[in-house]
Amino acid sequence: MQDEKIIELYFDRDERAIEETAAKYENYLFKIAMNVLSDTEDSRECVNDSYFAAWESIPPARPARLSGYLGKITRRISIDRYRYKTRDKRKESEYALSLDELGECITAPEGPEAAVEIKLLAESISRFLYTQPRDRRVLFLMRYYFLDSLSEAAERCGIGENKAKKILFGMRNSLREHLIKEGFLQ
Amino acid sequence: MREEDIIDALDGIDDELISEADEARKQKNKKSGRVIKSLTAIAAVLAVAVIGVYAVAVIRSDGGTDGTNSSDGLSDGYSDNEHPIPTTGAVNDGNDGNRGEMLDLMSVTLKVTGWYDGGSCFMGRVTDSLDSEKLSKGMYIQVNFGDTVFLETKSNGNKIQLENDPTETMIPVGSEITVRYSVLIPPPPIANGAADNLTPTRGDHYVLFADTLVLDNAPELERSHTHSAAAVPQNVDDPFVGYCGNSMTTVYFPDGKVTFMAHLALTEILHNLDYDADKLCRCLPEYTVDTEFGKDYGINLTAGYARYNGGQADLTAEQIDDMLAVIEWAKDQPRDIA
Repeated sequence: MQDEKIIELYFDRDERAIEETAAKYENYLFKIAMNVLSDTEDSRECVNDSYFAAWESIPPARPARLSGYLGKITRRISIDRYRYKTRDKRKESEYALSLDELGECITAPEGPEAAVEIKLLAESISRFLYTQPRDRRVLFLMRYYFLDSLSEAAERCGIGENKAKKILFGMRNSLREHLIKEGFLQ
Repeated sequence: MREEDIIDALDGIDDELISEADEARKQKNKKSGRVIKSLTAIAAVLAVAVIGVYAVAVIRSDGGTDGTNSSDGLSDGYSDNEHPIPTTGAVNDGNDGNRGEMLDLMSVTLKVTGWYDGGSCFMGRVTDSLDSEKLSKGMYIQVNFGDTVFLETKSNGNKIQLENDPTETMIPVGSEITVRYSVLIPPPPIANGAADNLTPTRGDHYVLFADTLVLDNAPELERSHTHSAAAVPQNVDDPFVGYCGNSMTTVYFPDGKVTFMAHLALTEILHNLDYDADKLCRCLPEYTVDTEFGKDYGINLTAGYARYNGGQADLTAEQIDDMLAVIEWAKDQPRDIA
Protein backbone atom coordinates (compact mmCIF):
# COMPACT_ATOMS: atom_id res chain seq x y z
CA MET A 1 0.00 0.00 0.00
CA GLN A 2 1.28 3.45 -0.77
CA ASP A 3 2.41 5.63 2.08
CA GLU A 4 -0.26 8.25 1.44
CA LYS A 5 -2.97 5.66 1.85
CA ILE A 6 -1.41 4.27 5.00
CA ILE A 7 -1.26 7.77 6.47
CA GLU A 8 -4.91 8.26 5.61
CA LEU A 9 -5.72 5.14 7.61
CA TYR A 10 -4.00 6.73 10.58
CA PHE A 11 -6.02 9.88 10.11
CA ASP A 12 -9.20 7.83 9.84
CA ARG A 13 -8.14 6.03 13.03
CA ASP A 14 -8.45 2.80 11.13
CA GLU A 15 -6.43 0.11 12.87
CA ARG A 16 -5.49 -1.32 9.51
CA ALA A 17 -2.91 1.47 9.53
CA ILE A 18 -0.77 -0.59 11.90
CA GLU A 19 -1.19 -3.75 9.83
CA GLU A 20 -0.24 -1.98 6.67
CA THR A 21 2.68 -0.27 8.35
CA ALA A 22 3.95 -3.56 9.66
CA ALA A 23 3.48 -5.26 6.32
CA LYS A 24 5.55 -2.64 4.58
CA TYR A 25 8.11 -1.58 7.14
CA GLU A 26 8.57 -4.29 9.70
CA ASN A 27 11.82 -5.61 8.27
CA TYR A 28 13.15 -2.12 7.74
CA LEU A 29 12.39 -1.05 11.29
CA PHE A 30 13.58 -4.31 12.73
CA LYS A 31 16.95 -3.81 11.06
CA ILE A 32 17.28 -0.38 12.59
CA ALA A 33 16.45 -1.75 16.02
CA MET A 34 18.83 -4.68 15.65
CA ASN A 35 21.64 -2.34 14.70
CA VAL A 36 21.24 -0.73 18.10
CA LEU A 37 20.25 -3.61 20.31
CA SER A 38 21.65 -6.74 18.69
CA ASP A 39 18.84 -8.60 20.39
CA THR A 40 15.94 -10.09 18.51
CA GLU A 41 13.41 -9.96 21.30
CA ASP A 42 14.22 -6.42 22.34
CA SER A 43 14.20 -5.32 18.73
CA ARG A 44 10.77 -6.77 18.13
CA GLU A 45 9.46 -5.00 21.17
CA CYS A 46 10.92 -1.72 20.01
CA VAL A 47 9.36 -2.12 16.61
CA ASN A 48 5.99 -2.79 18.20
CA ASP A 49 6.49 0.25 20.41
CA SER A 50 7.22 2.21 17.26
CA TYR A 51 3.85 1.28 15.79
CA PHE A 52 2.19 2.52 18.95
CA ALA A 53 4.20 5.73 18.84
CA ALA A 54 3.22 6.25 15.22
CA TRP A 55 -0.44 5.65 16.06
CA GLU A 56 -0.23 8.20 18.84
CA SER A 57 1.50 10.84 16.76
CA ILE A 58 -0.33 10.52 13.43
CA PRO A 59 -2.35 12.70 13.40
CA PRO A 60 -1.54 15.47 13.91
CA ALA A 61 1.75 14.66 12.28
CA ARG A 62 1.51 13.97 8.57
CA PRO A 63 4.95 12.69 7.62
CA ALA A 64 6.20 13.67 4.21
CA ARG A 65 8.12 10.46 4.16
CA LEU A 66 6.70 7.66 6.23
CA SER A 67 9.77 5.43 6.22
CA GLY A 68 11.96 8.23 7.55
CA TYR A 69 9.41 9.14 10.18
CA LEU A 70 9.03 5.59 11.40
CA GLY A 71 12.76 4.97 11.22
CA LYS A 72 13.42 7.94 13.44
CA ILE A 73 10.90 6.70 15.99
CA THR A 74 12.38 3.22 16.04
CA ARG A 75 15.89 4.55 16.28
CA ARG A 76 14.97 6.72 19.24
CA ILE A 77 13.11 3.97 21.05
CA SER A 78 15.90 1.49 20.45
CA ILE A 79 18.60 3.82 21.67
CA ASP A 80 16.62 4.60 24.80
CA ARG A 81 16.09 0.91 25.36
CA TYR A 82 19.76 0.26 24.89
CA ARG A 83 20.77 2.92 27.37
CA TYR A 84 18.26 1.70 29.89
CA LYS A 85 19.44 -1.87 29.64
CA THR A 86 23.13 -1.24 29.62
CA ARG A 87 23.44 1.91 31.67
CA ASP A 88 27.06 1.94 32.67
CA LYS A 89 28.09 -1.09 30.77
CA ARG A 90 28.01 -1.06 26.98
CA LYS A 91 26.86 -4.15 25.29
CA GLU A 92 28.48 -4.94 22.04
CA SER A 93 26.38 -3.69 19.19
CA GLU A 94 26.77 -1.46 16.18
CA TYR A 95 25.46 1.33 18.36
CA ALA A 96 28.28 0.79 20.82
CA LEU A 97 30.85 0.56 18.06
CA SER A 98 29.54 3.76 16.55
CA LEU A 99 29.85 5.48 19.88
CA ASP A 100 33.45 4.39 20.15
CA GLU A 101 34.20 5.70 16.69
CA LEU A 102 32.46 8.99 17.25
CA GLY A 103 34.31 9.33 20.52
CA GLU A 104 37.30 10.19 18.42
CA CYS A 105 35.52 13.36 17.30
CA ILE A 106 35.23 14.81 20.71
CA THR A 107 37.20 15.36 23.82
CA ALA A 108 36.19 14.74 27.38
CA PRO A 109 33.64 17.12 28.84
CA GLU A 110 35.16 20.41 29.83
CA GLY A 111 33.42 22.22 32.57
CA PRO A 112 29.82 23.29 32.73
CA GLU A 113 29.80 24.36 29.08
CA ALA A 114 30.17 20.75 28.05
CA ALA A 115 26.39 20.33 28.06
CA VAL A 116 25.31 21.61 24.67
CA GLU A 117 21.85 21.92 23.28
CA ILE A 118 21.24 18.89 21.10
CA LYS A 119 19.19 20.87 18.68
CA LEU A 120 21.99 23.32 18.00
CA LEU A 121 24.33 20.42 17.59
CA ALA A 122 21.95 18.77 15.13
CA GLU A 123 21.81 21.93 13.05
CA SER A 124 25.55 22.18 13.09
CA ILE A 125 25.96 18.58 12.00
CA SER A 126 23.45 19.19 9.21
CA ARG A 127 25.52 22.13 8.02
CA PHE A 128 28.60 19.97 8.10
CA LEU A 129 26.99 17.15 6.18
CA TYR A 130 25.79 19.48 3.45
CA THR A 131 29.38 20.49 2.79
CA GLN A 132 30.30 16.89 2.16
CA PRO A 133 29.96 15.05 -1.16
CA ARG A 134 26.78 13.08 -1.34
CA ASP A 135 28.47 9.71 -1.32
CA ARG A 136 30.37 10.51 1.82
CA ARG A 137 27.53 11.91 3.80
CA VAL A 138 25.35 8.97 2.83
CA LEU A 139 28.03 6.63 4.13
CA PHE A 140 28.32 8.65 7.31
CA LEU A 141 24.60 8.48 7.99
CA MET A 142 24.41 4.81 7.15
CA ARG A 143 27.01 4.21 9.81
CA TYR A 144 26.01 6.68 12.51
CA TYR A 145 22.33 7.32 11.99
CA PHE A 146 21.10 3.98 10.72
CA LEU A 147 23.92 2.27 12.64
CA ASP A 148 24.62 -0.16 9.83
CA SER A 149 27.77 -2.14 10.30
CA LEU A 150 30.84 -0.88 8.51
CA SER A 151 30.76 -3.76 6.06
CA GLU A 152 27.07 -3.27 5.32
CA ALA A 153 27.45 0.44 4.83
CA ALA A 154 30.46 -0.07 2.59
CA GLU A 155 28.65 -2.63 0.51
CA ARG A 156 25.60 -0.42 0.13
CA CYS A 157 27.85 2.39 -1.04
CA GLY A 158 29.59 0.09 -3.45
CA ILE A 159 33.01 0.46 -1.93
CA GLY A 160 35.41 -1.74 -0.03
CA GLU A 161 35.39 -1.84 3.73
CA ASN A 162 38.86 -0.40 3.99
CA LYS A 163 37.94 2.51 1.80
CA ALA A 164 34.80 3.10 3.86
CA LYS A 165 36.86 3.06 7.00
CA LYS A 166 39.22 5.66 5.59
CA ILE A 167 36.40 7.87 4.43
CA LEU A 168 34.67 7.73 7.80
CA PHE A 169 37.92 8.42 9.57
CA GLY A 170 38.41 11.50 7.43
CA MET A 171 34.86 12.61 8.01
CA ARG A 172 35.10 12.23 11.75
CA ASN A 173 38.20 14.40 11.70
CA SER A 174 36.44 16.94 9.54
CA LEU A 175 33.41 16.87 11.82
CA ARG A 176 35.65 17.46 14.75
CA GLU A 177 37.20 20.49 13.09
CA HIS A 178 33.76 21.72 12.16
CA LEU A 179 32.50 21.40 15.72
CA ILE A 180 35.56 23.23 17.00
CA LYS A 181 34.98 26.00 14.51
CA GLU A 182 31.35 26.30 15.53
CA GLY A 183 32.22 26.38 19.20
CA PHE A 184 30.90 23.02 20.31
CA LEU A 185 34.35 21.80 21.11
CA GLN A 186 37.51 23.48 22.17
CA MET B 1 30.01 16.75 25.10
CA ARG B 2 29.61 13.01 24.97
CA GLU B 3 29.75 10.95 21.86
CA GLU B 4 26.21 9.96 22.64
CA ASP B 5 25.25 13.58 22.11
CA ILE B 6 26.24 13.24 18.50
CA ILE B 7 24.17 10.10 18.13
CA ASP B 8 21.22 11.91 19.70
CA ALA B 9 21.80 15.02 17.62
CA LEU B 10 21.62 12.98 14.44
CA ASP B 11 17.96 12.48 15.24
CA GLY B 12 17.47 16.17 14.65
CA ILE B 13 19.38 16.66 11.41
CA ASP B 14 17.54 17.68 8.27
CA ASP B 15 15.05 15.08 7.10
CA GLU B 16 16.37 15.59 3.60
CA LEU B 17 19.73 14.19 4.66
CA ILE B 18 18.14 11.18 6.30
CA SER B 19 15.93 10.54 3.29
CA GLU B 20 18.89 10.73 0.97
CA ALA B 21 20.79 8.13 2.97
CA ASP B 22 17.69 6.00 3.36
CA GLU B 23 17.14 5.93 -0.38
CA ALA B 24 20.74 4.96 -0.94
CA ARG B 25 20.38 2.11 1.54
CA LYS B 26 17.44 0.75 -0.33
CA GLN B 27 19.09 0.80 -3.67
CA LYS B 28 21.16 -2.08 -4.75
CA ASN B 29 24.75 -1.41 -5.34
CA LYS B 30 25.14 0.54 -8.52
CA LYS B 31 28.48 -0.93 -8.98
CA SER B 32 28.08 -4.62 -9.17
CA GLY B 33 30.39 -5.94 -6.61
CA ARG B 34 33.80 -4.77 -5.73
CA VAL B 35 35.82 -7.78 -6.47
CA ILE B 36 35.75 -10.41 -9.09
CA LYS B 37 38.11 -13.06 -7.97
CA SER B 38 38.72 -15.98 -10.06
CA LEU B 39 41.81 -17.82 -10.96
CA THR B 40 40.02 -19.67 -13.72
CA ALA B 41 39.45 -18.35 -17.18
CA ILE B 42 35.87 -17.18 -16.94
CA ALA B 43 34.07 -14.95 -19.27
CA ALA B 44 33.49 -11.77 -17.26
CA VAL B 45 31.00 -9.33 -18.63
CA LEU B 46 31.57 -5.77 -17.58
CA ALA B 47 28.93 -3.26 -18.42
CA VAL B 48 30.53 0.04 -19.09
CA ALA B 49 28.30 3.03 -18.68
CA VAL B 50 29.79 6.08 -20.20
CA ILE B 51 28.28 9.38 -20.83
CA GLY B 52 28.78 11.22 -24.04
CA VAL B 53 28.65 10.84 -27.73
CA TYR B 54 29.63 8.10 -29.99
CA ALA B 55 32.96 6.49 -29.58
CA VAL B 56 35.46 7.53 -32.12
CA ALA B 57 38.25 5.17 -32.70
CA VAL B 58 39.62 3.09 -35.44
CA ILE B 59 39.32 -0.59 -34.98
CA ARG B 60 42.04 -2.68 -36.26
CA SER B 61 40.72 -5.94 -37.45
CA ASP B 62 44.04 -7.59 -37.27
CA GLY B 63 43.83 -7.57 -33.50
CA GLY B 64 47.29 -6.25 -33.04
CA THR B 65 49.51 -3.30 -33.45
CA ASP B 66 51.01 -2.13 -36.61
CA GLY B 67 54.32 -2.57 -35.02
CA THR B 68 54.74 1.00 -33.89
CA ASN B 69 52.89 1.00 -30.59
CA SER B 70 52.73 4.74 -30.75
CA SER B 71 49.93 7.02 -31.68
CA ASP B 72 51.93 8.42 -34.60
CA GLY B 73 51.34 5.28 -36.57
CA LEU B 74 47.62 5.72 -36.22
CA SER B 75 47.21 9.15 -37.61
CA ASP B 76 47.15 8.24 -41.23
CA GLY B 77 44.65 10.21 -43.16
CA TYR B 78 43.29 12.24 -40.27
CA SER B 79 44.00 15.70 -39.08
CA ASP B 80 44.59 16.46 -35.43
CA ASN B 81 41.00 17.32 -34.75
CA GLU B 82 39.40 14.42 -36.48
CA HIS B 83 38.45 11.34 -34.68
CA PRO B 84 38.06 8.13 -36.57
CA ILE B 85 35.01 6.22 -35.63
CA PRO B 86 35.17 2.67 -34.48
CA THR B 87 34.00 -0.03 -36.74
CA THR B 88 32.20 -2.23 -34.40
CA GLY B 89 28.99 -4.08 -34.15
CA ALA B 90 26.35 -4.33 -31.51
CA VAL B 91 25.39 -0.70 -31.69
CA ASN B 92 22.44 0.32 -29.61
CA ASP B 93 22.98 -2.50 -27.26
CA GLY B 94 20.93 -0.61 -24.78
CA ASN B 95 20.76 -3.02 -21.91
CA ASP B 96 22.62 -0.80 -19.54
CA GLY B 97 19.69 0.64 -17.70
CA ASN B 98 18.99 4.28 -18.08
CA ARG B 99 22.17 5.02 -19.90
CA GLY B 100 21.48 2.37 -22.46
CA GLU B 101 18.24 4.06 -23.23
CA MET B 102 19.90 7.38 -23.72
CA LEU B 103 22.94 6.52 -25.70
CA ASP B 104 24.04 4.46 -28.59
CA LEU B 105 26.47 2.14 -26.97
CA MET B 106 29.08 0.30 -28.85
CA SER B 107 29.97 -3.12 -27.72
CA VAL B 108 33.20 -4.94 -28.16
CA THR B 109 34.56 -8.15 -26.91
CA LEU B 110 38.11 -8.01 -25.81
CA LYS B 111 40.69 -10.42 -24.74
CA VAL B 112 42.45 -9.54 -21.56
CA THR B 113 46.18 -9.65 -21.86
CA GLY B 114 47.42 -7.70 -18.91
CA TRP B 115 46.67 -4.98 -16.42
CA TYR B 116 48.50 -1.93 -15.29
CA ASP B 117 47.56 -0.56 -11.92
CA GLY B 118 47.57 3.20 -12.04
CA GLY B 119 45.65 3.72 -8.84
CA SER B 120 42.16 4.84 -9.57
CA CYS B 121 42.59 4.08 -13.21
CA PHE B 122 44.51 1.81 -15.36
CA MET B 123 45.92 1.88 -18.79
CA GLY B 124 45.63 -0.54 -21.55
CA ARG B 125 48.24 -1.33 -24.06
CA VAL B 126 47.49 -2.81 -27.35
CA THR B 127 49.90 -5.52 -27.79
CA ASP B 128 49.70 -9.19 -27.52
CA SER B 129 52.90 -9.27 -25.65
CA LEU B 130 52.48 -9.40 -21.92
CA ASP B 131 54.10 -7.02 -19.53
CA SER B 132 56.08 -9.66 -17.79
CA GLU B 133 57.36 -7.38 -15.06
CA LYS B 134 53.93 -6.36 -13.95
CA LEU B 135 52.38 -9.72 -14.45
CA SER B 136 55.04 -11.27 -12.33
CA LYS B 137 53.63 -9.39 -9.39
CA GLY B 138 50.49 -11.37 -9.88
CA MET B 139 48.14 -8.45 -9.65
CA TYR B 140 47.96 -6.91 -13.02
CA ILE B 141 45.51 -7.37 -15.78
CA GLN B 142 45.93 -5.45 -18.94
CA VAL B 143 43.13 -4.84 -21.30
CA ASN B 144 44.11 -4.77 -24.90
CA PHE B 145 41.68 -2.02 -25.37
CA GLY B 146 43.53 0.18 -27.71
CA ASP B 147 46.93 1.55 -28.35
CA THR B 148 46.78 3.26 -25.02
CA VAL B 149 43.45 3.96 -23.54
CA PHE B 150 42.87 5.84 -20.37
CA LEU B 151 40.42 3.96 -18.19
CA GLU B 152 38.71 4.93 -15.03
CA THR B 153 36.18 3.30 -12.83
CA LYS B 154 34.39 6.42 -11.91
CA SER B 155 31.70 8.03 -13.87
CA ASN B 156 33.24 10.34 -16.36
CA GLY B 157 31.74 11.15 -19.67
CA ASN B 158 35.09 11.29 -21.35
CA LYS B 159 36.38 7.97 -20.36
CA ILE B 160 35.55 4.36 -20.51
CA GLN B 161 34.79 3.10 -17.12
CA LEU B 162 34.62 -0.32 -15.69
CA GLU B 163 31.98 -1.12 -13.21
CA ASN B 164 34.35 -2.55 -10.69
CA ASP B 165 37.27 -0.93 -9.03
CA PRO B 166 40.19 -2.21 -11.08
CA THR B 167 42.45 -2.17 -8.06
CA GLU B 168 40.25 -4.81 -6.57
CA THR B 169 39.34 -6.59 -9.71
CA MET B 170 41.34 -9.52 -10.79
CA ILE B 171 40.21 -10.45 -14.19
CA PRO B 172 42.16 -13.47 -15.30
CA VAL B 173 44.41 -12.97 -18.22
CA GLY B 174 42.91 -14.63 -21.21
CA SER B 175 39.36 -13.86 -20.21
CA GLU B 176 37.00 -12.40 -22.69
CA ILE B 177 35.17 -9.35 -21.55
CA THR B 178 32.48 -7.37 -23.21
CA VAL B 179 32.80 -3.66 -22.88
CA ARG B 180 30.18 -1.21 -23.84
CA TYR B 181 31.13 2.39 -24.36
CA SER B 182 30.03 5.45 -26.08
CA VAL B 183 33.00 7.67 -25.69
CA LEU B 184 36.65 7.07 -25.89
CA ILE B 185 39.14 9.66 -25.02
CA PRO B 186 42.38 9.88 -26.85
CA PRO B 187 45.26 8.16 -25.21
CA PRO B 188 47.76 10.27 -23.40
CA PRO B 189 50.95 10.95 -25.25
CA ILE B 190 53.06 8.32 -23.65
CA ALA B 191 56.35 6.97 -24.64
CA ASN B 192 56.55 3.49 -25.93
CA GLY B 193 56.70 1.13 -23.00
CA ALA B 194 55.97 3.76 -20.41
CA ALA B 195 52.86 5.31 -18.94
CA ASP B 196 54.16 8.48 -17.38
CA ASN B 197 51.61 10.92 -18.56
CA LEU B 198 48.11 10.07 -17.51
CA THR B 199 46.57 13.27 -18.75
CA PRO B 200 44.79 12.81 -22.01
CA THR B 201 45.15 15.47 -24.63
CA ARG B 202 42.27 16.46 -26.82
CA GLY B 203 42.84 15.83 -30.44
CA ASP B 204 45.08 12.87 -29.93
CA HIS B 205 44.32 9.87 -31.97
CA TYR B 206 43.34 6.70 -30.37
CA VAL B 207 42.65 3.25 -31.48
CA LEU B 208 40.53 0.47 -30.25
CA PHE B 209 41.93 -2.94 -30.77
CA ALA B 210 40.35 -6.23 -30.15
CA ASP B 211 41.37 -9.73 -30.66
CA THR B 212 37.85 -10.92 -30.90
CA LEU B 213 36.08 -7.86 -32.13
CA VAL B 214 32.96 -8.21 -34.13
CA LEU B 215 33.32 -5.90 -37.04
CA ASP B 216 30.05 -5.02 -38.53
CA ASN B 217 28.31 -2.03 -40.01
CA ALA B 218 31.09 0.46 -39.73
CA PRO B 219 29.74 3.92 -39.02
CA GLU B 220 30.57 6.64 -41.48
CA LEU B 221 33.51 8.79 -40.66
CA GLU B 222 32.51 12.31 -39.85
CA ARG B 223 35.31 14.33 -41.36
CA SER B 224 34.26 17.86 -40.82
CA HIS B 225 32.20 19.41 -38.10
CA THR B 226 32.01 22.88 -36.67
CA HIS B 227 30.21 24.51 -33.82
CA SER B 228 29.25 28.05 -33.20
CA ALA B 229 27.86 29.74 -30.14
CA ALA B 230 24.13 30.29 -30.07
CA ALA B 231 22.95 33.85 -30.55
CA VAL B 232 20.17 33.45 -27.98
CA PRO B 233 19.78 30.96 -25.14
CA GLN B 234 18.30 27.71 -26.35
CA ASN B 235 16.14 27.20 -23.32
CA VAL B 236 12.90 25.42 -22.71
CA ASP B 237 9.76 27.54 -22.91
CA ASP B 238 9.37 27.82 -19.17
CA PRO B 239 12.80 27.90 -17.61
CA PHE B 240 13.02 27.19 -13.92
CA VAL B 241 14.54 29.82 -11.69
CA GLY B 242 15.31 30.06 -8.01
CA TYR B 243 17.65 27.24 -7.19
CA CYS B 244 18.41 26.41 -3.61
CA GLY B 245 21.90 27.27 -2.48
CA ASN B 246 22.21 23.73 -1.19
CA SER B 247 21.88 22.35 -4.67
CA MET B 248 24.79 20.01 -5.31
CA THR B 249 26.80 19.85 -8.48
CA THR B 250 29.51 17.38 -9.42
CA VAL B 251 32.08 17.98 -12.13
CA TYR B 252 34.24 15.12 -13.30
CA PHE B 253 37.86 15.70 -14.19
CA PRO B 254 40.42 13.17 -15.41
CA ASP B 255 41.92 12.94 -11.95
CA GLY B 256 38.72 12.83 -9.97
CA LYS B 257 35.50 14.58 -9.31
CA VAL B 258 34.58 17.68 -7.39
CA THR B 259 31.23 18.09 -5.68
CA PHE B 260 30.10 21.44 -4.40
CA MET B 261 27.16 23.58 -3.39
CA ALA B 262 26.27 27.04 -4.63
CA HIS B 263 28.02 28.08 -7.89
CA LEU B 264 24.69 27.41 -9.52
CA ALA B 265 25.49 28.49 -13.06
CA LEU B 266 26.01 24.94 -14.28
CA THR B 267 22.81 23.67 -12.70
CA GLU B 268 20.71 26.57 -13.87
CA ILE B 269 21.97 26.54 -17.44
CA LEU B 270 21.98 22.79 -17.93
CA HIS B 271 18.56 22.29 -16.39
CA ASN B 272 16.87 24.81 -18.64
CA LEU B 273 18.41 24.00 -22.01
CA ASP B 274 16.17 22.57 -24.68
CA TYR B 275 18.10 19.49 -25.75
CA ASP B 276 17.45 18.52 -29.34
CA ALA B 277 18.19 15.00 -30.55
CA ASP B 278 18.62 16.27 -34.10
CA LYS B 279 21.53 18.39 -33.00
CA LEU B 280 23.43 15.50 -31.49
CA CYS B 281 26.90 15.26 -32.95
CA ARG B 282 29.79 12.94 -32.33
CA CYS B 283 32.16 15.43 -30.86
CA LEU B 284 33.49 14.62 -27.46
CA PRO B 285 32.35 16.49 -24.40
CA GLU B 286 35.07 18.06 -22.29
CA TYR B 287 33.43 17.52 -18.93
CA THR B 288 30.66 15.50 -17.41
CA VAL B 289 28.44 17.14 -14.84
CA ASP B 290 25.86 15.84 -12.41
CA THR B 291 23.31 18.17 -10.91
CA GLU B 292 20.37 17.79 -8.58
CA PHE B 293 18.15 17.54 -11.65
CA GLY B 294 20.06 15.10 -13.77
CA LYS B 295 23.21 13.14 -14.20
CA ASP B 296 25.70 12.81 -17.00
CA TYR B 297 25.38 16.12 -18.69
CA GLY B 298 28.19 16.36 -21.25
CA ILE B 299 29.53 19.84 -21.85
CA ASN B 300 32.05 21.19 -24.30
CA LEU B 301 32.86 24.81 -23.59
CA THR B 302 35.35 25.09 -26.44
CA ALA B 303 32.82 24.10 -29.05
CA GLY B 304 29.98 25.57 -26.99
CA TYR B 305 27.38 22.89 -26.49
CA ALA B 306 25.81 20.78 -23.81
CA ARG B 307 24.44 17.32 -24.17
CA TYR B 308 21.89 15.44 -22.12
CA ASN B 309 19.54 12.55 -22.46
CA GLY B 310 20.22 11.99 -26.13
CA GLY B 311 19.90 15.61 -27.13
CA GLN B 312 22.19 18.57 -27.57
CA ALA B 313 21.92 22.33 -27.27
CA ASP B 314 24.28 25.10 -28.27
CA LEU B 315 25.40 27.54 -25.64
CA THR B 316 25.54 31.28 -25.91
CA ALA B 317 28.81 33.07 -25.34
CA GLU B 318 27.51 34.30 -22.00
CA GLN B 319 26.50 30.83 -20.91
CA ILE B 320 29.91 29.51 -21.89
CA ASP B 321 31.60 32.21 -19.82
CA ASP B 322 29.41 31.53 -16.79
CA MET B 323 29.97 27.80 -16.97
CA LEU B 324 33.67 28.19 -17.61
CA ALA B 325 34.01 30.31 -14.49
CA VAL B 326 32.56 27.48 -12.41
CA ILE B 327 34.67 24.84 -14.13
CA GLU B 328 37.84 26.84 -13.61
CA TRP B 329 36.98 27.31 -9.95
CA ALA B 330 36.20 23.61 -9.55
CA LYS B 331 39.51 22.64 -11.13
CA ASP B 332 41.31 24.19 -8.19
CA GLN B 333 39.26 22.34 -5.62
CA PRO B 334 40.44 19.13 -4.01
CA ARG B 335 39.10 16.00 -5.59
CA ASP B 336 36.51 13.98 -3.76
CA ILE B 337 37.67 10.81 -2.15
CA ALA B 338 35.97 8.16 -4.22
